Amino acid sequence: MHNIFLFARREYLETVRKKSFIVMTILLPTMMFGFAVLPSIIASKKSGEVQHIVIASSDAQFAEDVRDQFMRPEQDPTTAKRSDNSTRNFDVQIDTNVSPENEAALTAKVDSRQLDGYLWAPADGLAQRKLSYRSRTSSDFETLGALSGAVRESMLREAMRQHGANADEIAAALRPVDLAGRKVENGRVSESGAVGVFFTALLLMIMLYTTLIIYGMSVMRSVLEEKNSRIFEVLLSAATPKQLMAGKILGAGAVGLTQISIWGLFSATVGAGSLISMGGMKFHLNLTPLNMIFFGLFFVFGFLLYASVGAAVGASVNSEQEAQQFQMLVLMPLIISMIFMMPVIQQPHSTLATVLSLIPFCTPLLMFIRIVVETPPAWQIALSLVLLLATIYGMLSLCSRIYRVGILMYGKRPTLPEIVKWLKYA
Amino acid sequence: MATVELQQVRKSYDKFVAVKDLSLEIEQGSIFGLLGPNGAGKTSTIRMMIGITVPDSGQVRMFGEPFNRHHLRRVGYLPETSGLYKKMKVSEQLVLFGQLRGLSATDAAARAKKWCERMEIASWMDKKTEELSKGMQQKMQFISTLLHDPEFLIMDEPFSGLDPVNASLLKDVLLDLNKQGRTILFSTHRMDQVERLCSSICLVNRGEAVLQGKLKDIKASYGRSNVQIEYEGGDDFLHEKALVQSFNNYGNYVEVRLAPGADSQKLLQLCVQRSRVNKFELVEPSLESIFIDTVGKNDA
Repeated sequence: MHNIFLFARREYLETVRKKSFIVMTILLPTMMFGFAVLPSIIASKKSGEVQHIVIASSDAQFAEDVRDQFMRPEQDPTTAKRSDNSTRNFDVQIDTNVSPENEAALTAKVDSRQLDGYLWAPADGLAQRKLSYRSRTSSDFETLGALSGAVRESMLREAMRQHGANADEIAAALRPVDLAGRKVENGRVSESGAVGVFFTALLLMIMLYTTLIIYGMSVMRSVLEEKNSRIFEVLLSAATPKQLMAGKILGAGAVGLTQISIWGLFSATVGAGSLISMGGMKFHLNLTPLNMIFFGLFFVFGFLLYASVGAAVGASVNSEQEAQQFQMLVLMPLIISMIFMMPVIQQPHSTLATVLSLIPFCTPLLMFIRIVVETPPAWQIALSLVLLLATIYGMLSLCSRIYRVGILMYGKRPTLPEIVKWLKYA
Repeated sequence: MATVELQQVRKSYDKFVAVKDLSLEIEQGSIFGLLGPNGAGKTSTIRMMIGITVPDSGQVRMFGEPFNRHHLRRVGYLPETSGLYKKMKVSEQLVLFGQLRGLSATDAAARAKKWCERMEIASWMDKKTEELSKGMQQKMQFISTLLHDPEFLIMDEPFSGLDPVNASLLKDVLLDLNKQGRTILFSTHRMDQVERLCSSICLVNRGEAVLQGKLKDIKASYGRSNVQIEYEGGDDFLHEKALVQSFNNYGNYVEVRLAPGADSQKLLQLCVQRSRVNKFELVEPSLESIFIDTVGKNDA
């Protein structure tokens, strides 16, 4: 035990003192935060340019309604608070001339950049409810979306007016509705919204995936580095291979936990991570203490699993290049978990999600994500943990046998049959 | 009492037998030479001796008992290829090695300081290991094996990479420790060192002991059967099969092993006929010539 502690402490201190540790600790959350927030900041910057749009309709009342709706600040669908979402300045003109000549003239103006686009709504188009917005960029979904909303509402207004409703009645009927997604948790309706849960799941899964890869593979790399510095021969005259491997894994795992704790404390005190705004939508991350505990738990278990395999690989190979080839193989289950992330988040209780999350190599990511999205039955969590722990135990004893022989083997890369033979060595 | 005793120890990797039923005994307080060409099985033997690997068959006894890991606290091992944590500070690393051998951190630090002073690397103790030269790292590794004051020292090619001054510094420390009763095992293929230091040897080739015993006895058994000749001129006499069994040309002189029953005077006569002889001396065979002789015969 004493030796394990000495190796773990050595590993821990050496890694924590490295510059790369400090850089990673700061950089990773900064990058995640950046990816989540920066696009919306950039998108919400008003680009001083004014966009010129023409609403061409034979129905002047309709055209005015559309313009009013279009120009009105939008309602935030998740918070029902008025938010200044008009990201660009528009200049909207109304044109009641819907002759083919005018259509050609408007098209020419768009083409010559005098106009950015025009809504073409002739009488027959209105009757058939088939309109078109013509612009140079067909991918401007924001404008198109806003216009389509405005058109729908204007048509409703028109219909209501025809049924004799007055302006107040129309306004009351069209008042926006706040439909918020709420998660049912332990028989209670929680405050966290569906969108929040989704992004929480996404964020935590990416964090878990990244840390598992980084720390699992750091064990592999440092075992390889020690093998190449020929230190094992010396150490083995004082300690057993098991002590060496246990110390290495515990030390590296402690570094990982330290990093996660720093991130956890940071987000708890600053609270910066809890409110994310994306594409104009603001929502709260669902960072409950229980989620964070499961995050730590699945990090530890996942790390033990992948680090033990990493230690065996690092001990078997002789160079970084050889390690790279194996690395892909080792990380395959994690990558597969990421591929199935979306279906699992969307349908966390489907057969696919259940089966995948019970496969021990996928459990750390997929069972965790199921817990975040919708707590699965307790027996499934328990079963997945039992399977995972059994696999960790099996992999540790298997990998420590490979490790024990591998650290003293130099020369060519061992073949799989050779590694199988190692398992039988006394 | 024997510090180490190997009884019919065997180790094979796959089909390759690294050590074939090797038996040897290292007496307490002796300096023992484990000799052999590259790949003879020296390192494999040492690894089994200290439990890094387990023999397929046979027994290892240490300090009079069957080998047990707790014996390792009394053993210091300097492997052939030095291995150190490159990024660690010299002092921290030495303390770690001391702690692994059961010393307390403060005790280990005090001993490390004392040894670094003696080995003349005290001014480097706060540096990172990778900043040290190869020779200094070798000395540091050497210190790491001595911190816990082991009774039994295993030195695998300890002088490789050291200049003559440092090699002699290391040698003096080892001789000093031997005088205090420590047992030392040298594993090497450098015969000249063994000849000067060791009292007993075991010569291994292809995993088998081909010659072992006290150095004195071994040499005596060969008698004054070798001749060192310094000469100028032709060397036809070296190829006189009736007189010369084998020879080894060292450049400045040649060492000739006489054929069994050959008369050295006849060789001298032959020499004088063809060349100018500056020195003609009957000697005990050097360990090197015994080595080459034995290993060469074995391989033939």
